[in-house]
Amino acid sequence: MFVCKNCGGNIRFDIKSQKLVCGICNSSFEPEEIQKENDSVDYDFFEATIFTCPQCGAAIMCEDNEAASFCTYCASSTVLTSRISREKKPDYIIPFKKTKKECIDEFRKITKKAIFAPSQLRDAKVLEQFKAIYIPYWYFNVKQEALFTVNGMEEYKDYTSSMKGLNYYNVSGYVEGEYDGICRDGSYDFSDDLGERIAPYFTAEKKKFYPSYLSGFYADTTDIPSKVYEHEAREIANDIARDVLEGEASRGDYKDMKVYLSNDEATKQFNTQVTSKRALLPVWFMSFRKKDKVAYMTVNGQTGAAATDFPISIVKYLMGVLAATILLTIPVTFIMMMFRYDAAKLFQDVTLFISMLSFIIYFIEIKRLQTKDLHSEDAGKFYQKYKVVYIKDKKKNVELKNFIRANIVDLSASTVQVFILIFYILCIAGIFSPDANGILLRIGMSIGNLFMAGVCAYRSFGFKKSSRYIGLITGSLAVVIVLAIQIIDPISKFGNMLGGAVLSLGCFVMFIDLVLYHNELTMRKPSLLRRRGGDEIADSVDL
Amino acid sequence: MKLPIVLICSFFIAFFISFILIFILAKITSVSAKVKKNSEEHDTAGIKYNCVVKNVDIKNKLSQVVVKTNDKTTI
Repeated sequence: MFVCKNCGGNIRFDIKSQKLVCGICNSSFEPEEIQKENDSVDYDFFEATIFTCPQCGAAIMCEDNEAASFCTYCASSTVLTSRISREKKPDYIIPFKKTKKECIDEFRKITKKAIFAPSQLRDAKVLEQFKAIYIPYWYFNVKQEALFTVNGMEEYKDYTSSMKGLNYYNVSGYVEGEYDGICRDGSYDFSDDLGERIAPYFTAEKKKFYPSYLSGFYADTTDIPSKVYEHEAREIANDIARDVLEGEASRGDYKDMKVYLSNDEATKQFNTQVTSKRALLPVWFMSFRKKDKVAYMTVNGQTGAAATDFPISIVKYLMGVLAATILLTIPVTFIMMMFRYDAAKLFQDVTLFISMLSFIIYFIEIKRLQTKDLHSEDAGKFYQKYKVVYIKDKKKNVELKNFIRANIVDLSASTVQVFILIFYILCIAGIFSPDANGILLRIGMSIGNLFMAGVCAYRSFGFKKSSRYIGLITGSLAVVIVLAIQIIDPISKFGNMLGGAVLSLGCFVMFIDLVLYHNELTMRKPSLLRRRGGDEIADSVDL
Repeated sequence: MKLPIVLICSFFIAFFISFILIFILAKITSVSAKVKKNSEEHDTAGIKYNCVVKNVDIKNKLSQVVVKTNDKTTI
């Protein structure tokens, strides 16, 4: 606790005035003026109270030694155990600029768009639970100074002979650069994704750290070593230097000069050196608890940028489906009446076509959710799990994106066009009738659906939980039933209607499964946090 | 076509389309985010930097690859 020099009352950091203000006599002080006795003696460490939640194990640092009765991370009301700890002093701090009211206003803006999010997230009482937390970040400074020789390449076109070619060059020179304020979060449980979405922080407003800045606020403790993000800091600096070099090289006769360098090559050529410092950056943080699971809502305490992954309310989803079904039934009935063909068979054909589409959506979505579940794009969580520094293969990602852009999007568009064309031709030719061609088409589409189910199952092999297969198994079973009907009694009106209904219900289970999986990833059990704090951190993190 | 059969079929088709559309809508609205930046771009927001490249010298290496272009543009 920090004490007022004038009256001995408790003083806390006031966001609006950016000063420490006494709650009793209203005196205000600059944060650097106020220090505890021990803080002035020890330059590297400061004394803080570490509160540990008995429910989830979260360790939160606080400068006040009043008993805490609410865990910010798992939102449970419990008496947190506390102990005094010597914590490594951060080098910098960016003080809070946004007040709680401003934070709630910013958060309300994003909840307006989230129409399927639980209604409680719009409740003023729930939003009052936003807590101001300083999240530990690694603050990187990168320097480059070197004489370099790299490979350059320029494409040329000879229009008269319709030839194009590549000219290779040795590009040499001298580079000097400094990059300050590359920040990456140093807490396992603050996801990289959320960190990126509330970024950037404007580091020009950083201050030298004094423990008094923490008065009245919580702070998380650092548990990710800086080496996890050092390559990213190097990569940012190397990319900028390469762009500057390309700009310089293409000034004269070499207008289209490109320089291709991997991050490692650039680090060597530009002599890229990284130094890391500790910083505490402000985040308004709320854990939204539902039963035994929590979801995190975050707002940047400096800029007000808000980010979260909202859970989807199952009740709202089902209500939405019901409302849309009622709205669509009448127009669909009119469209069906326009066709002269047997309604049951037309129903079967359309459901087979839509189920193909739903398998494609399932595949895309399950791939995205699986990536999130395995933390393969979260360097901090990846390191926590595998103790290996995760290096994004940027080149591979770019190539893959280009490939998708150039091929898969075109291919999908072409496939949809071909399907529509076939459908159109078959409609005109009257093939959607109980003849051999119609049956063959339905069998072919069923096999196509099964193939897609197989592709989805292959994608899902990585799941540890058997419950994750339920949706896919139900969808696949529905397709098998349709196939069986088409083989056993393809002209039965009842059979085709049953097939279509079973297929739609089977795919519905698949989508419910996707919603549940989405919710599972946005709302986690606090026991899974496996937080650590205090002495354990000191043992493992490079100080 | 008998109306009750058409109505039942239409209801199921509408239901099928609805749960897909509502799912896509729920997913889009559940992620509150800025559009992710293209991975080819580097994010320099919030970073203070100064980079200078001097004395650039370019020497032609003799290796040259020539490929036939598909470009049909004529001058």
